Amino acid sequence: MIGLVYNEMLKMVRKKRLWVILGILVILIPIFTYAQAQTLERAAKQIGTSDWKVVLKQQIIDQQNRLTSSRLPEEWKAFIKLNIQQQEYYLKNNIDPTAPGAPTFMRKFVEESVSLFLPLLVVIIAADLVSSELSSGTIKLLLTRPVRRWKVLLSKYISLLFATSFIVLSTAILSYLLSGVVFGYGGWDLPVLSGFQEKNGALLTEFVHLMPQWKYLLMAYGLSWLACITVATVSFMVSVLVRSTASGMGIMLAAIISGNLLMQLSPTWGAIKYFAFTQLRLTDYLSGRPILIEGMTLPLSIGVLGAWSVVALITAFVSFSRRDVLA
Amino acid sequence: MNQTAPVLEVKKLSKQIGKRKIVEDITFEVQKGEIFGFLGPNGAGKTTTIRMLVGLIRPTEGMIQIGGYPLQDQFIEAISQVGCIVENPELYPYLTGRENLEHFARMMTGVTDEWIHEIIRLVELEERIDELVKTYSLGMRQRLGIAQALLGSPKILILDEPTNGLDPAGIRELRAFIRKLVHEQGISVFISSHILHEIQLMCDRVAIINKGKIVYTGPVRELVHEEETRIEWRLDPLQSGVQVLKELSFVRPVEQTEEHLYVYMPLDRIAEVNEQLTAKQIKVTGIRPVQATLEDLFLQLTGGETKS
Amino acid sequence: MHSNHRMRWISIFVVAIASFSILLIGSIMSLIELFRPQASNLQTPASQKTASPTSPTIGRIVSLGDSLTRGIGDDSGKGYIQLFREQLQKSSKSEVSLINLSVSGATSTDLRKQISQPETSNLLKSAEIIPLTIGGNDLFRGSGRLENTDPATVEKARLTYQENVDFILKEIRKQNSKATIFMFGLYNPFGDLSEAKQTNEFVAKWNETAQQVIAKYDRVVFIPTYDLFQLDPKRYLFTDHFHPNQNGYQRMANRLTQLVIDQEGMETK
Repeated sequence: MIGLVYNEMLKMVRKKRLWVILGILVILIPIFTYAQAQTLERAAKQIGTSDWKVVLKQQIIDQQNRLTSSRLPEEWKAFIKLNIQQQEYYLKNNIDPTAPGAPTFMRKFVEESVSLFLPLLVVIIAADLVSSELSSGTIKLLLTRPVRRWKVLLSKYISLLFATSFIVLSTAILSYLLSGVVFGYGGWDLPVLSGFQEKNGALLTEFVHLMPQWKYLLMAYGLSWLACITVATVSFMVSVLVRSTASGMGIMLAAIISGNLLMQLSPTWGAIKYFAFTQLRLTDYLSGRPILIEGMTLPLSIGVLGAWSVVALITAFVSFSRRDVLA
Repeated sequence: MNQTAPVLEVKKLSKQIGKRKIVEDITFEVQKGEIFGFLGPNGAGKTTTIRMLVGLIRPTEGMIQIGGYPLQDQFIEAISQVGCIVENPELYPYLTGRENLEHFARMMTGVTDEWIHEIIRLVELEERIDELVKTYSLGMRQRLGIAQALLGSPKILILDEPTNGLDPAGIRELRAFIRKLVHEQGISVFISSHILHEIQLMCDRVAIINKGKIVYTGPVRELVHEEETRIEWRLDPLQSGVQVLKELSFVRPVEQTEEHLYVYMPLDRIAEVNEQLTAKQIKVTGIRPVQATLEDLFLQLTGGETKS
Repeated sequence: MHSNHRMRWISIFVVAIASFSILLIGSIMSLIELFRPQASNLQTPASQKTASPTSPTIGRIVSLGDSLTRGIGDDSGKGYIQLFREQLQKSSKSEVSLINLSVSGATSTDLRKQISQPETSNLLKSAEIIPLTIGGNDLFRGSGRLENTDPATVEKARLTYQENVDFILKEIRKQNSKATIFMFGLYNPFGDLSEAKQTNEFVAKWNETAQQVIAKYDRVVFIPTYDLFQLDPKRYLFTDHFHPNQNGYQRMANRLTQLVIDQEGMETK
């Protein structure tokens, strides 16, 4: 089995698709970094001073002022208090939150790319995995060996999981290394707010707490990895079912993009919850960003993603081991 | 016939896709050390049969036994006896020749580095083996394809149209190589082709398939009457010439067009026929021996009923 | 060839398994975290100590007060304070910074509370110019609806106002003896209504009060606004008929800039 997995990984490496993905990252991350730096600069200009300490103190005082207002609901007060703590930490440790360092960029990057960018990268690898063997005819050499078909497919799936992990981790590492040139490489210990919960449209802050950014990053990338694995698994099924790599990729692109669109266009239509590609934004549960779709919870998201993965895997394996190779 | 069990045994094999019967009731055996030809026009069901032999397609009915193991029930044991090229040898162009071989070697047990080395030497690819396959010529790919088929030291080699796309020199080379293999390694070879001539040159025995059914199985020698050759006659006037030829006992007319008459007859009696024609005032404008085609063979085997 | 081969095996698998495991750990951690939320871990008062002065010269303008200093009513959101900063910046080579500590809706009592907070006093220490608007909310909101203004209530509010302004100025001076304080006076947003006479009277009285208090302190300048909007309130007031609009703020800023630039040249260095 190890030999089979090695075969698949060797092919993946030699086919250069992985390198293309790394190339895409190396080109795009500096662009995103530049965009982010521009945004921060513009924000600093609006405030009218380049001294971030002044800005921060001002923000703290603004928020303290808001706290004194009696009209504020209690849960918001707790939230503001946490925000103040976070900002005071910045001041105390001499961390400029507007030039926050590469780890903060990594965090923002994964939160933004989890529903579209990362899945697309994964699709590049996954959609090609089986269909390329079908369309090039090498499947015939692969399946006339003394190895059961399900083992051949399993080795491909395992190597796909490895490749997905590699892509997600490379995204993390490259976004760190490349954005650090602009933002600096510090900021692993920065406290990040997490633990927001939503109940009946209200934001619950009782579980909100601060955690060091490195831990948050590990978890955020872990969650995006889960989302990517679902994408990889579904693409894998498509790759088994569709002979042409191009159409497989097209199908997956359409699915992922429509998932994103549905999320924006009709968040009140409950049925879209059960479409895997509307559930990719797992990191929102960590960051506390309001969930767009009504009634979405973490167990539901995980359940939907898991169910899609299992069904896709079963379909892929059954189809692959039963099917006649006519090509 | 033979004391030893056949290396490949196919019984009542059928494949139906939808309502269409692609292959029906196919039965044949391949003995040890034998080069077995599988002859048929394109679309006769050759490739479907071969794909069933190597487990790519499930038969609807029938049984395949390789080296004594039933393919359907003991796939691993059965397929271990087989090395095959189905259609073109599609290898991974982005890997080197050696990497391709190592790739497939990892899918089997007991393939040593020494054996890989030996095979590379056997197919004479030593010089280019560490170059990417995409730089290879078709002939080299074909040889690499054979190399990968030999990796598992198979008892039987299944080659689907192995000469497809090769130039005459390549075909000759391949033919010599297959003979050498059978001679040195003692393995059986199963070759499919749509060219009668090729089968005649390479094979010991042949099964002929047409429209999904076997129409003939037997030694290649008996297939075409060696003492007879197909001769093309150009005569003037053609009609009276045909009359003359038909009266001769040793001449068997097979086909007639507006200008030619094709007959089977012994080559050494052409002069005699020519004399008789000239004597009856019929001008002979051309005499030419031609190679028998698969079409002719079908005509011969079925008495013309397959001609459509 | 062989060791090369082994190296490739090892490196491919190490990279693959390492990335897989790291992300697996991350995802498990996050699932544990999200499924079993822990209670807030940082509600400790430790943060209160941290507001220590960091650099001696943070900001030259520190503004205090209510919605006027916030810029409410200005479509561009700048308010007199930003306009002022921009004008000042034009005539200054060095960076003019602004810390705006105003709170919309603040009364003099609110400002009194705010001024006692350590964060505020820290920031005040470094200020060079302290613009200030206060009292509008005391007079027009604190004293109830205008239609039935009770002179007694207004008078009570005025006394509180007087006391608060005194306290505020004293506190600022305690933190910073050098900065110039510019206190804007009140204007009458209802100058064109029927009760104008009464409200005018109140405004005049309150402005007088403010000036009296100011007189006790050095380097505190009273900037009248009463005259700015009195004649044509529609032109200078926002549609809420209470806050100035952009034009109004521009007039306020002009006044302030003029005063600051006329001062002994410290702003034009």
